[in-house]
Amino acid sequence: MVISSADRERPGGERQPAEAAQPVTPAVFHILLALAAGESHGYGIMRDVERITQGTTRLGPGTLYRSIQRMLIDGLIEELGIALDDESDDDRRRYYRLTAKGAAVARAEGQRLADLVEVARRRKLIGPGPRPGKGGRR
Amino acid sequence: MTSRVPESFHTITPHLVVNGVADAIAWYTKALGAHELLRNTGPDGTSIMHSELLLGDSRFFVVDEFPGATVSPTSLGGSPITLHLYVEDVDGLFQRAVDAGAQVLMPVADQFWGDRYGILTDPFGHRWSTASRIEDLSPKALQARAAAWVKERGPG
Repeated sequence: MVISSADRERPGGERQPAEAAQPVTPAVFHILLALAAGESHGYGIMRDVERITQGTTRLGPGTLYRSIQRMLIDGLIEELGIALDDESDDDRRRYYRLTAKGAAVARAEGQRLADLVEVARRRKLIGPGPRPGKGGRR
Repeated sequence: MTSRVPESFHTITPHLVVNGVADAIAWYTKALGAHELLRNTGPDGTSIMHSELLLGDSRFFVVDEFPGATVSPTSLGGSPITLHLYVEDVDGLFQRAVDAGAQVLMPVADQFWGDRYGILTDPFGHRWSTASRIEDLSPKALQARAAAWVKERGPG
């Protein structure tokens, strides 16, 4: 069963005390990166994540569903509400885009990782550039 | 390749048995700020074989009591388990739960171990302790505080 965005609204927009500061899981960051290139549906996100990681990361439908639910709840993405066909229950056919908050979280996480990579370079753990034969894509 | 440990889950996932899952989901949503992620209805069309909720960054399952298979705290007369929640605003969450009908087992107060902490029982018989950390103590300081607390409290 799939919950619509409307069911997910917080009553009266009140604060959620049980909500901790958000760690960005690898799947969430991959989805943020995929949607940074523009709006997409679940299946498009799965394919893009596979492409940008050169096939090393494949999000299964369960992980995709759970990550997307969490990101909707946390306000990182929003659903565009376009059902392409009768299978609107299929998460892979729902369209999503980044919210301003999602873009900010993606930037912050990207910068945090870039800073750590810089430390790894300075400490000679990795070489100065991208891995040869990999990461040719932006 | 399916990952053997789905990254959306922490290692431990509580699985709560209740008498009336639909009401419980509504209560956990209202009182604790949980979000329902999915539910599977049983063969009778009303009982819920499985449901998954997100609370903060953790997930938990809530299922109905099924005779011979699962038993809820209300049938057992209590629960030996306490689920612990660390939150930003323990007073806010506690009040919200009490307003929604939770029973206070221990009111929120500053505790010697560095938490502001309280315990309640939800309407389905499950116990929740909730806290916000207020002091980050070393194990040594913690032991000293515990010893002082025992001494002050006296034997028994």
